[in-house]
Amino acid sequence: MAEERVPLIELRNITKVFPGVKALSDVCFTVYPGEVHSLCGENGAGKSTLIKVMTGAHAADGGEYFIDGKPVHISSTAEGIALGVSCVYQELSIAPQLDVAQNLYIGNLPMKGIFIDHKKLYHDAQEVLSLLNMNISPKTPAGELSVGQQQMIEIGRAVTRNARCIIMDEPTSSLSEAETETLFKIIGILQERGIAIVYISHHLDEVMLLSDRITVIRDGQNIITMNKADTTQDILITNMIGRPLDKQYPEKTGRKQGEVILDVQQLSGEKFRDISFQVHAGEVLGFFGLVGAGRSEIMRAIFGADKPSNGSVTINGKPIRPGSPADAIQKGIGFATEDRKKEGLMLRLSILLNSTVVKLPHLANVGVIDRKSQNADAEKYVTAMRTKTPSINQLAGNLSGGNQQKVVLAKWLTMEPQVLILDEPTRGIDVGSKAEIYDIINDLAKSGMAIIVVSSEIEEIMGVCDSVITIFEGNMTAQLPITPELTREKVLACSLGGKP
Amino acid sequence: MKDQVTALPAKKRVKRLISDYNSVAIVLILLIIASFVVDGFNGKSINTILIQASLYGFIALGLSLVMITGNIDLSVGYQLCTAAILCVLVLNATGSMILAAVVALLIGALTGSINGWVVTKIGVNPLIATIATNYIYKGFSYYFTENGALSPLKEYKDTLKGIAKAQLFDSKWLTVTIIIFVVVLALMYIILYKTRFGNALYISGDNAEAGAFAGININNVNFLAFLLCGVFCAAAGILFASDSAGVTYTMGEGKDVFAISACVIGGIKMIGGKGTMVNVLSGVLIMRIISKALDMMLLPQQWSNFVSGALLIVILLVDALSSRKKA
Amino acid sequence: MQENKIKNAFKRFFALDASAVIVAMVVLVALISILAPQITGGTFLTKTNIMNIFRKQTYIGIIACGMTLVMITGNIDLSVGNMMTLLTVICALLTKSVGPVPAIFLTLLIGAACGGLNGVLVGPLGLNAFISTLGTTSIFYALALIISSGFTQRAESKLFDVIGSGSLWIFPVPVVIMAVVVAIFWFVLKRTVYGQQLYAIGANKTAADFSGIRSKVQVMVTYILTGLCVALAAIVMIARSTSANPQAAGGTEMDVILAVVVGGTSIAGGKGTMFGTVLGFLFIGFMTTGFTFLGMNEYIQSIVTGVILVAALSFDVIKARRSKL
Repeated sequence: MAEERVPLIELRNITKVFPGVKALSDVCFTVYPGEVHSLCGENGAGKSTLIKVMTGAHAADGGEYFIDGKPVHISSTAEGIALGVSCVYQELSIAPQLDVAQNLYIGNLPMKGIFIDHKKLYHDAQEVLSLLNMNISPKTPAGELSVGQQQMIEIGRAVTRNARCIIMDEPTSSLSEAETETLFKIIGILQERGIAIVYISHHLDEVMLLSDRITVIRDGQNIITMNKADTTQDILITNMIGRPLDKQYPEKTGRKQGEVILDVQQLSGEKFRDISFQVHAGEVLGFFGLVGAGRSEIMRAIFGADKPSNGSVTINGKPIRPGSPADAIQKGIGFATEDRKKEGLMLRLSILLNSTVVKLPHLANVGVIDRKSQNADAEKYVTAMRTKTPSINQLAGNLSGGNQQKVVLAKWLTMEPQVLILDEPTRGIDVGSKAEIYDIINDLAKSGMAIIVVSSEIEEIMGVCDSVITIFEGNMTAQLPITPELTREKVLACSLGGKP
Repeated sequence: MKDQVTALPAKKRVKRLISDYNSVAIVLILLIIASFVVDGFNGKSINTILIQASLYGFIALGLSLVMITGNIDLSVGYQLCTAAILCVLVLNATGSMILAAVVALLIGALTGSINGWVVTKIGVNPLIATIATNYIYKGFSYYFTENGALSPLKEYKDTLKGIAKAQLFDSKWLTVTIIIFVVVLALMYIILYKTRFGNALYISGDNAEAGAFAGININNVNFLAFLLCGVFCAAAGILFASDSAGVTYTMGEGKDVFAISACVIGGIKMIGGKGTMVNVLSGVLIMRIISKALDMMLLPQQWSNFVSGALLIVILLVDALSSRKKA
Repeated sequence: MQENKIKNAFKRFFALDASAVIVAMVVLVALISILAPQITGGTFLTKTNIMNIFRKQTYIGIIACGMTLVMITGNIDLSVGNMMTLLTVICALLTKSVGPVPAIFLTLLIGAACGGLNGVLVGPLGLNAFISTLGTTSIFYALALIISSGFTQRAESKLFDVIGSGSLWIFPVPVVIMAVVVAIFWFVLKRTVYGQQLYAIGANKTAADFSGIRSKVQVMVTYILTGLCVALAAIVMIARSTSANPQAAGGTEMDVILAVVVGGTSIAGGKGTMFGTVLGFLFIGFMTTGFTFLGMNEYIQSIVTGVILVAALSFDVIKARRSKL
């Protein structure tokens, strides 16, 4: 039956060449009305390029593009939108000072003659909002919404354009659990209306939950298209990386816990209360909780990026001056933040400077940098972490996500910190690089470093940590040692406010 | 059509009202202070302020469009001067004020287009680009005002002066310049609030990428903002030429600082995406009231520079403090 | 083989941030050298002319050093022109009242204070650099006029004769002063922790803060250093012209910013070198001196300057766009 239906979108043998790289070769992809078709692949596999060809942001160099069985040539996103193909991008495109209604109808305002029909605008916007289950005024400035709500506005935007196919690129990467659930509900509603969804995510559990069909691409080529019923996560991973992934997480053996290094007592701030815990040398402590539960805020307060309202942080018995990252670094704390590009890296500067920026004052005599030791330090960590780069003079912005994360780690490791805080260390990183990062974390713990890993992926916490603290609405709900008996469900329950 | 549009909570609405119109409050407060503190500050002084504001206002109006898109134009002063010179030259050659005005406005469109082209089509940073093009307009202005001033021929002097002098119903409150300015301001208000182009200006300043994704040609929008800025500068140029019955090259000096100050003091943000015609009007009025009041207090004109500079910094400080509280 | 080498050399050259200004300078000097004998009958590239260029560009050069630091952090200082006017007036008045040596020290101190005012606004208070320095520029201008009552102030002393018109071997003292400042700033940017931290701040302020850099203070220091540079420039100017005109020096900030930008410093921050800045102000010097040498009057010069600048800036942008692909 499905074979007889006319596909809404059909890409045949699409080829796209960038100078020096063949990003896509002979890729075929079909989408039927009302289906959720997931697109999987590692970073750099060609997913983004394929999306851009579908939306019209890129013109294909070869192949054919059909919509409703008719050949089309789309040379701009505007044309794509007109033909019913809309994309919800990973990087949000919200105009923060404009209100919700104007954001929903951006580029598509209802008009009365040459004038904007404000009455219809707000009325229609209200309808879209209620479809999206959002109880806010369409006159709210979009910048005041949470990231999750903004994401919904983006989806609403596609609806207002009468999109028949909505492409969602990593839509849950910044959503809380509850928001993710709402999103899935809305995807269901859209499906019922006959709208097709192309779903792209690193979270394979989401892919398995939502999809009707799944296509895997690798190195710019089609690998396989499967019905969901015919596949498992393992099959998907095997296809994505081209070989079965034997073990993602390293063995935790060989770690020895030493003395208490970091001692946090009754730390309170705007978004968290009364946080007390200790981390020992050689221990990996996990922090698990929903997005927005206050995990990152706790870490920021420990590091001194924000000033806590109450409580103390001591390292080896020495108190840390609140609100001063410089002091925290001095006393031995490193903090790889969740947002690499905004808070971690200087993308336009070299790996050399990026990886030594923290240590710079220590690599100098009376303020004059010792070039030799600076270079040596940078080289050392490029080699140690197998960072893929032609030289240490390469700009950080030219590296892949995984390698960028290694540079961030190098930046902190040059200081040989006693405590290393890693906030979402593998966000947006492909499966292969993830395993490498986990290996690094394990090696550091073995060498006696105290490590905190903040993550919203429960697998990751269970895989790399010795124990886990769950955070719910800014409160610590439990601290659980990670043993084979500990179940995912229990951790999840605690993170949702349940008793251990 | 049953379901009602959810309104913003009352508290938020009041807050919004205050943040949108606090510049109007400053105007009123300044007027009240001036009438108490400054001897002889009366209706006549306000009238002078309004007439001056209607001349200066066009520059701020033009610049505000560019600033809403998140760009900046440092060449407004000499664009004004260039257009004013062309106006006088054409008047001298043809004797037709209408033709002179049309040519001047076209020259404004040209200089504005040059800025717009360099910024949007080539992609040079607007600050740097307009510093560079300013050299061109400045050189041109110097060339024609070599002997200090370019004056209209005797027989056309009254024609030129007529525009700034003209009044409706013999009322000094209804000078042609005030009327033109108010009409243009109202027109721009409608364009900004009610048309697609106006909306696109805000989008360009707020999140250009989002606009581009939505199929809005951001480059064209920015280009048009620069072009209109040039035209409004030219309009100001005609009025200034008329007001002082000729053009001196110093006419271009300091107008850029005035216009930027007026816009920022009125509440338009450097980062773009924000600003209304009310902001422009009150910004211009604030600047003119200060200047007039200091003038009447017999303080040298330098003090007005001092005060506007200090006010600029105070506005920034207040802005920073209030946004810090929010965060 | 040979061809490839040449191709590579070209590629590497164009990858330089300052390639646009180098090309423009070579073309300009060649053009003027060819045209000069025909129009005026003289040769352009003589020792006197080149020294003149250096001499004329001294003020711009000294201030551009400070401005380069400010712009590398992604900020800007629009107040340097009027700050210089104010400082020349102050220096002249002080020389008359307390003598040249204390005047020089006090001028440097006041320069640092003026820069410090900008620095506090932009650094610790975190205000928009463009607008706050636009505000202080009005203040400095007003102060200059108020202090001087609008009149030109004269200041003469033997010391100033040495600074203004003396030479060390074949080099005029102002040029030597500029060279020393350039050398110091080159070293600071290239080899010191402070210099490298400025790049980090310009490239990503949040990341810099998170790396333990006290960016607010460091930014403030760039403005103080700029204030010192402006004071030095003001002293050299007083020494050369023995008078301070409160109406003069308007627009210097534009020349300085252009020199820095033409030299490849990015207005977005995180990029720029002293080498580029030196090329930048030499280019503008060659241009204006060359035009004067060719007998162009001031207004034609201004127009041609604008056209050439737009061309050079466009070249830079187009180059950047191509290298991205």
